[in-house]
Amino acid sequence: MNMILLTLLLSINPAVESDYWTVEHFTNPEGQILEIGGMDFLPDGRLVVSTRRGQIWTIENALADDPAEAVFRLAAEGLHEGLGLKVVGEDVLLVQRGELSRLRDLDRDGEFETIDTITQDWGMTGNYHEFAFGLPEDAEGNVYVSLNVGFWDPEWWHGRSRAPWRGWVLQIAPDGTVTPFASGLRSPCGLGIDSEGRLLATDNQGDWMAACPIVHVREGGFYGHPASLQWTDDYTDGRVPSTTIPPGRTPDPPAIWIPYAWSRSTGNLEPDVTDGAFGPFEDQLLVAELTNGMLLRAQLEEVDGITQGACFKFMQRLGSACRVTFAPDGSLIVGFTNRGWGGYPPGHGIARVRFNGVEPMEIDRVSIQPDGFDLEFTKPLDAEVSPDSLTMTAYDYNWWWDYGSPEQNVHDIPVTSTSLSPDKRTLKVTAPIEAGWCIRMRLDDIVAEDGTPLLHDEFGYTINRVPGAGPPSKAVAREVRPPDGRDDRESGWLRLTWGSVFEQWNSDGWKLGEAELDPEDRTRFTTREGNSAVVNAQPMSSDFVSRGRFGDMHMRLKFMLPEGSTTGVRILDGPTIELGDNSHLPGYPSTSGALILGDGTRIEPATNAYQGAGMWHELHAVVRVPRFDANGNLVEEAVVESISIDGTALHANVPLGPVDATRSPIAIIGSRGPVGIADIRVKPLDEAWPAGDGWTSLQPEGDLAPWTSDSSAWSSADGVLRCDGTGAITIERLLPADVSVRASLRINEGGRAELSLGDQIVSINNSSNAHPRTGSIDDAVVRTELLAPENRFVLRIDRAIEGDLVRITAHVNNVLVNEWSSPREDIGDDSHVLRLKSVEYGTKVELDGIQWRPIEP
Amino acid sequence: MSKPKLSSVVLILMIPIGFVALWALAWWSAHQMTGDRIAATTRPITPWIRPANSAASSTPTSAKTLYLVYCAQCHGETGDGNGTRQLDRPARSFRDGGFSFGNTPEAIFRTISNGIGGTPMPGYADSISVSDRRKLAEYVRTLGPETIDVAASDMIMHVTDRPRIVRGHLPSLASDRPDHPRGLLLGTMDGLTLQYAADDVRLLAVRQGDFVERTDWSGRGGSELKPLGRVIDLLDDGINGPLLDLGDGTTLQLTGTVAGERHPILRFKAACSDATGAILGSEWCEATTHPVGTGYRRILQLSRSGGCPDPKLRLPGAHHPLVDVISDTDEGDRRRTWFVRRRPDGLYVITGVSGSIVESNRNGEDLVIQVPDEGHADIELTTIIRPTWNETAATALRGVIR
Repeated sequence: MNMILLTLLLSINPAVESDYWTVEHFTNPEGQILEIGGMDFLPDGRLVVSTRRGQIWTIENALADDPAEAVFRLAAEGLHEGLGLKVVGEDVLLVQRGELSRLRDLDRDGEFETIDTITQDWGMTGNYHEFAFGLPEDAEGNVYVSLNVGFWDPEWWHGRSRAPWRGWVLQIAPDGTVTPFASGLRSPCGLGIDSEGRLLATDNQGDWMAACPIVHVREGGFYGHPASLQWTDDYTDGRVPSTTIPPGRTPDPPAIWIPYAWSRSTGNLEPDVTDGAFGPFEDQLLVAELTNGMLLRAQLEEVDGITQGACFKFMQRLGSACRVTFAPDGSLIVGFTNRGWGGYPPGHGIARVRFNGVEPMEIDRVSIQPDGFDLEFTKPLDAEVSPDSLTMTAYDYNWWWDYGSPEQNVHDIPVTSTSLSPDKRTLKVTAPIEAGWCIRMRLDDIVAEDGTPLLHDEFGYTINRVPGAGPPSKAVAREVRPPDGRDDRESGWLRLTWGSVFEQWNSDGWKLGEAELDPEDRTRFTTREGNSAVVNAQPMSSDFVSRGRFGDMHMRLKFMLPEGSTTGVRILDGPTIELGDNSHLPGYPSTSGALILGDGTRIEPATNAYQGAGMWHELHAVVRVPRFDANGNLVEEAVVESISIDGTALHANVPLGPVDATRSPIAIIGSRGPVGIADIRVKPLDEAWPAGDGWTSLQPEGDLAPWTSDSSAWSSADGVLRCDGTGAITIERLLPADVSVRASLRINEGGRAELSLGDQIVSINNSSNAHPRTGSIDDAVVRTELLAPENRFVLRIDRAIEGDLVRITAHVNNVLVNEWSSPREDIGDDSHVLRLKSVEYGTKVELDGIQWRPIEP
Repeated sequence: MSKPKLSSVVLILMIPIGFVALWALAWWSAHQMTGDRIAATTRPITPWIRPANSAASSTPTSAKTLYLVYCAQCHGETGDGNGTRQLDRPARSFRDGGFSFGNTPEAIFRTISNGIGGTPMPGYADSISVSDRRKLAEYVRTLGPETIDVAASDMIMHVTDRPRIVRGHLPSLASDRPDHPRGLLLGTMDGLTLQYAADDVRLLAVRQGDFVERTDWSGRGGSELKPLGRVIDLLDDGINGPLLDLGDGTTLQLTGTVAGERHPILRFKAACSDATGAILGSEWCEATTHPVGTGYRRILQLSRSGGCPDPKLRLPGAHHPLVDVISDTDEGDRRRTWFVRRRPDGLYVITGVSGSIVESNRNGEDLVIQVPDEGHADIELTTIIRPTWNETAATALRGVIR
């Protein structure tokens, strides 16, 4: 199957980026780490770079044909980071974390011994995330600095602006005067000014930032993150912008939302004003992207005074690109940094990208029309294009406090017609487009008249306005009802690899550790001690199969592949979600996300959301099992409701064909290619508290009865049993030998309680260390931290006498998590006693349901 | 047979020099800033006695002999730091390769020449010829591990062949003191670290020893620096304010730093709310020795930019009880007034002020600096901390009054 696919892909003979642009990496001075934060050229031709480590390096001969001729010299150190740099005259302007500085080499010895402070006029609390970035210069000589918000609770990534101008772009005049220019930013790592003089900023997705945007920064603008509003007139009364409630101010729309699959951490951007020396994309922007290690291309236009535009992949698998700058000769210098954030290797250093003069076949520009798009190509097309070879998908985002937004309301838009201009360079695409949506368009089988295949077959366009259609009814990032809180985010999820990685799984030959691509052989991992990945370390590893069996479920896991590896995740005992890397092949034709049904039918993903070997990806799948009637006749087919990788939708509502299983394990295939897996979670979607069928409630009405207690820790109100402190409540002479007891409950962080059936104790403990965790039965201990504290869950205990044995099983949210059996006599004399006990000081437990029923032997 | 004879002759000739060196060491070790062994029973005239028989150094001497004569008593014959002389703190072990003040031959030469202020290590500029000091520097370097080239990627930053300046987040100096997200460390070539708040140019502490570990390089960045020297003077006590007072709304702002050839220089601007002009200042600092002890000296240069009142000098620690004032001492280079104050920790801070001062208050509370319209005012602030203040010490200080 795979071979056929590969042969097919190869036969197309796709164009590759290296046919047109050459990448050369400079060799760092021996032993040095250059985490680039700013770059520019000095008047004498030396490249000068600043680093996150507060060093300035000058590089002579950076533009020599052979990069080995470059000579690095440490020109300053001890600076407080250097994440933006601009040469003005002979001086170097530098943004440090706490000041804008002018660096000078007055004694001309090659070192910047003199550092003038131009301004320190912004606040810092000392929070680590308060980075300061820059540093474009406008026509009036003003420079621009952008300031991160700090990160605080409730989650570590919640942005807050606790010192002036955090989350703002500042304009700094040549005399050092600081003007707060625009607000609403979160982690605006990149600034630039395009050839039209527009000030642009990129931001990084997170809270209130649905994805990574390119923002056209206008004075007074607000771009979505509320924390920065602290320093506006709206908050002079001591109020603080809420971290969860939208601020009541509509954000100005970003010009471009970069698809998450392309950019997870955007760096700076620079216009191509090389007059063709760098290729055909005059005046367009080259954008650095760190996590996925690529360069993107962006092209802007204005509709009704609102900026918007298209973005494209430009060059992939380059390194953790954080900074780009054009050299005087028209080559592009790329600076890498990935410190602490993960990113495509290399994570530091410098590369030079040169256009080799061969014109690529690319979508040059996209311009929006009232009825669709005009796509201008770099070369004439060979023939008319059928609407069938275009796939147009629309999606929008949630504007909320949660970390990023998956693509929402994903739907296809029919392409109604296509027509080619007389010069065959412009393809008119007609489709019912609307403002307030992002568009992703894929073009298949496009070839230039001279036979050159299309280099990148996809683009994204952010529609803030449709020409002539007036203001839109909605924004691309819509204000939505926010998720209720942490509880809601974690609610219902079983964390199957937390704490004890292997306990909830059957496996052989899998190993826990830190996994990285082997730089010597990218088709395998090197592993070392650690706990971030489970890897099928041995060639003959078994499948990694969950002990629990799941019905309807939402499953998520993280995976990483080495080069050329193919494996998969099997669900419902048959259908498999393929995880495949082909990044060693031209065009990187990934197969990750393909769905292979039980009968071998293969369904390709809607798009390629896979980033490449050695990168972590998050796979989500929502699966519905088949429904049968009482006679065993199929009523509803099994269905994959959705599959996505890194938030990009790949499949929707795919019937799975003949499937028998109504409960089945999840299996990661271990015997095919190597794979790293992490943080596997399942949220069962079947009814956790099904009604009827002989359950008897034990909820008290009024006082504690039917429970008895010698402890004041327990109380009852409104049908909810509560415990605050330590103590027990008991019901004597209740339980038959074969019995099922279920409780719907919550327990606080650090709390620990027990539910006892006679002598056998079942633990309720989601977060307290060094104790048996939820689902532990007697001496059969559960070490996996299955549940987040504070979340409601259903614990069910079944006890059955089977011959000479007593067997007890524990289910959490309907999933079997533990079982214990022992000689029948171990059930003891108190088998009819049911007890609830809080055993840890500070425990808070809440039960809104507790029931029992006999099990028919 | 003749060789051992020759070297024994040389050794005999060297004895007087060695004796002087030993005496100098004894003096130094008696004047520790930690100060628990202050023994100022007799007032030393000056530690810098030219050797009686300086002709001896013109005889070619092997580097090892020089080392044995001048260095081994403290640093040990093998350079392991275990010399025969008892010191408050063990002498540097060259074998471990740690040179606080640089490991290049040039830096070691400078250390041998100038000594290390505030430590028992004296300077030998006047007692060993330049060529012998160079020889000695090369020899001392061979005692260590191969070489200790300081790479730009090393997490520990040493002050080697030039002063160093580091900006970064500085940790709190005491449990009740804040951290300083905008901080500045100046490393001098004589082993001091000046720790400043960069937003108001306040000197927070003076340290001595190795320079700084750049802990902010790890993780996701943004963490605090770790200065390595021990604090010898803590000025960040919650009371000390800016050094200059121009009246209402006085602010001091950093305007820049210069890593000079010999000193790390800090530049600042002092302004106030009721003047359009400002005082522009620069400051550098070095270790100093004085008959009553060792300490550090801040050298300020102030000039006027536009209309602005003359600034008052706010001495750090001026809120501690004044114990003694000794006016107008003359130590050859300049005249000083000394204010002796007792700190709550029981130590005595002796602050010497000299320069363009119009003193209007004997308590040192209203020291007005005359800043000329053209050119600049020079101020020197000497700080010595010692555990006792008694008549002997006062006599030692007054002894230099002409």
